[in-house]
Amino acid sequence: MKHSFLDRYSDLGSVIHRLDPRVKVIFFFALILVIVSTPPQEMARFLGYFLTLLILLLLSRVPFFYVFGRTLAIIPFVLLAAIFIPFFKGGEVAGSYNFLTLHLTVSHKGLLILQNILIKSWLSVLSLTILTSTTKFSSLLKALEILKIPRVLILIASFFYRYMFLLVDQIMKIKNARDSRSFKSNPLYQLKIFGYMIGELFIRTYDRAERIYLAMLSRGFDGSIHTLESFKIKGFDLYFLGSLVTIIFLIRLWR
Amino acid sequence: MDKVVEIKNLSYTYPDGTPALNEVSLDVMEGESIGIIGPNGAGKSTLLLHLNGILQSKNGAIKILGMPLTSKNMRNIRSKACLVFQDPEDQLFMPTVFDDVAFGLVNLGYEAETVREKVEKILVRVDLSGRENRSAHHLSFGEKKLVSLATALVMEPEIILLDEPTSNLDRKERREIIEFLQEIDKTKIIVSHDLEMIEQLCQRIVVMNKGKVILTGDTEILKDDNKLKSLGL
Repeated sequence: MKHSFLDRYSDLGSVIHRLDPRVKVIFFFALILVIVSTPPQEMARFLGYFLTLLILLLLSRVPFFYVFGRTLAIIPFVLLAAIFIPFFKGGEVAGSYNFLTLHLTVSHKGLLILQNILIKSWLSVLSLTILTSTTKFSSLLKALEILKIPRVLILIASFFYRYMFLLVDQIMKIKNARDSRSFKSNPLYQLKIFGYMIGELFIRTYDRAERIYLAMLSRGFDGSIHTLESFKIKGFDLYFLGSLVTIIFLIRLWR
Repeated sequence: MDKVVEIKNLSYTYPDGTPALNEVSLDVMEGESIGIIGPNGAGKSTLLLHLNGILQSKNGAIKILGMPLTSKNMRNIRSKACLVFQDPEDQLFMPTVFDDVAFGLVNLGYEAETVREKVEKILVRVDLSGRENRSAHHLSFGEKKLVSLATALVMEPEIILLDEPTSNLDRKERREIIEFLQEIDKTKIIVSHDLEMIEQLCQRIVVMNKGKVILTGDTEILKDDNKLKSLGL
């Protein structure tokens, strides 16, 4: 079975795709820092960041709706964490509601915080989505490695990327095996079967990890993973990085 | 001819108490291709894991290229006797084909340029050049098997240990793997149920059952069905 739900479109050959991955990592992280540090009232600046991202997205030729859809996935989590803030924050009251005995007030300050959180998290996720849709996961890992991100984190991500697909396959296979022999629809019974499935998956994963470790040992693994650096930074990359970082700082600091 | 592998009275019991090898003795000569056959659970793969020092038994002695299996020799032995696992998903664990093939070389401490050259050369040989930056999950099963072979061959070992090199392949992929293995003039120790492949590739057959070597001989054994049946095959 084939899946590519993580870095789909990362094979396109646009200007953005061809940039040195390190340049992209540095730029997008700088952008996120700038976004997060922008005061909440200054909507024009947020619009500026959005337009910058939009231009990058258009240049990359990754379908807009694909990226847009991906970014929406984060919204429920943010909402879940932030939706109650307007009700609890003190300050000038924007409106109050009565539900039977419950009296709720919404403050302007609280609403501003909610709006701030939503905008910043959405723009940050948009940045990261553009980064991952224009960079192959393996290049991204290598870039992070060169940029001195702790190796253990990179290894975990690397193994996760390599074996996630296999894990999904295995889940599907177990599920198919269950469905092809499943006659009872008693929910309690189904739950029990589900428990067995998770256990089975755990054992298989554990066994596989053991075998992978053996395969690593047999090729001289001594506790630390070494890979070859294979990026060459071009003049264009630096020019691109320089001008984009200047643009976002201008947007951030313009008076 | 020199003995490249010497196994003397090797016994091994898995930590959970399952006996796997019982007084196995076997010598392999340089350049020889040996096929180890036998029913499932006969101890074939366990024996293979010993030859590369992954499993170590206190009972019995193994010498690879004259070196006893000690932790001091281990690095050297692993670069000379390379093991290819049955399941390519276990053998290929890095994010890209290139990284996977380069893994052993980089661990041996080769220069970056040399690593690149060697990886490129071996990928041309298995007819997979241009796939360097692919992830293993984007390859077909046959391609994965070939890359697995490449990860071991790139280290230019003296001895290649193969666990079921033709399992789960379609006919074309199987033929390609066999043809490729025929071109390699190193010592080969092949564990398999694929008797036709063993017959094509090996000069000597070792039959194992219940942890013991019960017969060694030439490929004539494979032609006698009744004999095979009596050996538990």
